[in-house]
Amino acid sequence: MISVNQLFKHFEQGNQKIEVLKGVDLSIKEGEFIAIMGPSGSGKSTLLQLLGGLDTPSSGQVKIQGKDFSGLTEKQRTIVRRKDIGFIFQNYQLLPTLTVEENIGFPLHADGRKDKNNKEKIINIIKEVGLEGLEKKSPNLLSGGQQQRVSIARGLIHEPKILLADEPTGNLDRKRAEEILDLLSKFNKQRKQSIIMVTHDIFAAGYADKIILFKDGLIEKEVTREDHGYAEYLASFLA
Amino acid sequence: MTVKFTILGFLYYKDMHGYEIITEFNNLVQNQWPLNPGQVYSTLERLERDGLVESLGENNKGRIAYRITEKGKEALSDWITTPIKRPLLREELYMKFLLAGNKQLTGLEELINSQKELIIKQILILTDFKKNIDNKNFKKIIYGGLLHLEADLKWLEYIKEEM
Repeated sequence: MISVNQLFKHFEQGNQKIEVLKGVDLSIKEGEFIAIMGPSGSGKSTLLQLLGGLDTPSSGQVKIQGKDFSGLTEKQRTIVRRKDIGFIFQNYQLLPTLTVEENIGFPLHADGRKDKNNKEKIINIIKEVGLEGLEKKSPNLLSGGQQQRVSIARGLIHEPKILLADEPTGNLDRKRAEEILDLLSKFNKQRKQSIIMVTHDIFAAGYADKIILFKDGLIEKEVTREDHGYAEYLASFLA
Repeated sequence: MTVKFTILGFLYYKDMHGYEIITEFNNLVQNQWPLNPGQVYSTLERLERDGLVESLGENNKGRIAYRITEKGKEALSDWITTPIKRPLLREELYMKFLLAGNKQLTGLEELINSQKELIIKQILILTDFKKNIDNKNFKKIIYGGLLHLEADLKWLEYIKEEM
């Protein structure tokens, strides 16, 4: 589904070259729920942006369903992104001038196509994320947990194959965080969407099938609950 | 104590024999609370002796069914409305920490690391369990367990910072 091959990314700052990703190799299967953990500044979010085509690598490949993302033009990348990829962010990134349902429907209208099923799709997903009755409200009037639900609905409305989530529970208390994770887990099971989630939260990472530990721009280890010594490894990594 | 009142709780809704109670118990706790079948039968005998249940005699399979009495219903109601007092400071982990700190015993750092590993393991096991069951009430129990683990983890991180 996604394969990443020798991915490098650096930024220039004055005369300095800052290497953020230093040759990442990664492969993610259809329907897999992956958590990426690691210290701040280790390159996790940059990796997520490259996976989502929001930025381009300095070198290396990102292939989505066999298509090399890095070889596409900006316009072609946007098309793939709108069709196959959904995003969720820590700070929700909702448009305050639009209502809840307009925010959710945004990806459907973004490419200018009109579909008579759009309205039904929006009604259905609002029900699935539990936002009935709030359709006409401005997102500013909602709680953090509700705003993240809007963001999930917007991320999934176009039925992407891949959902990228950057610290989706970072601004939420444990209860709201668990609700959001239950929702993500439900969609992952029902729709077989691959989820790639960057998180600092071991409770959130517990929802994933696999935890990828990231350090200094490289994958240090991939662990699952079945691996011998995984807890010792996670504990020392998170210490 | 819990087994005694759980049995009364089952009998409050329906007359049952021991085997049925064991099955109901295991379903209720999603097999997470090991129950010794012998304890169920001995508890039923004690409940009968104390007048909290009455025996309805053997059925054709030789199983004895029981019915809750009025006294049993009252006892159940008292139990269910009485709060549970958790130990606040009397915990083995805290004792280890105090001994290591006050009596200069070595091994505190090792304890904290291994305790953290255990908590991470338990978080992942509970989360996986929560993800895979449909029972809404049991999910709430798991959430309770996760909140306790979160508090334990925060405390360990605090101790580590202070070291």
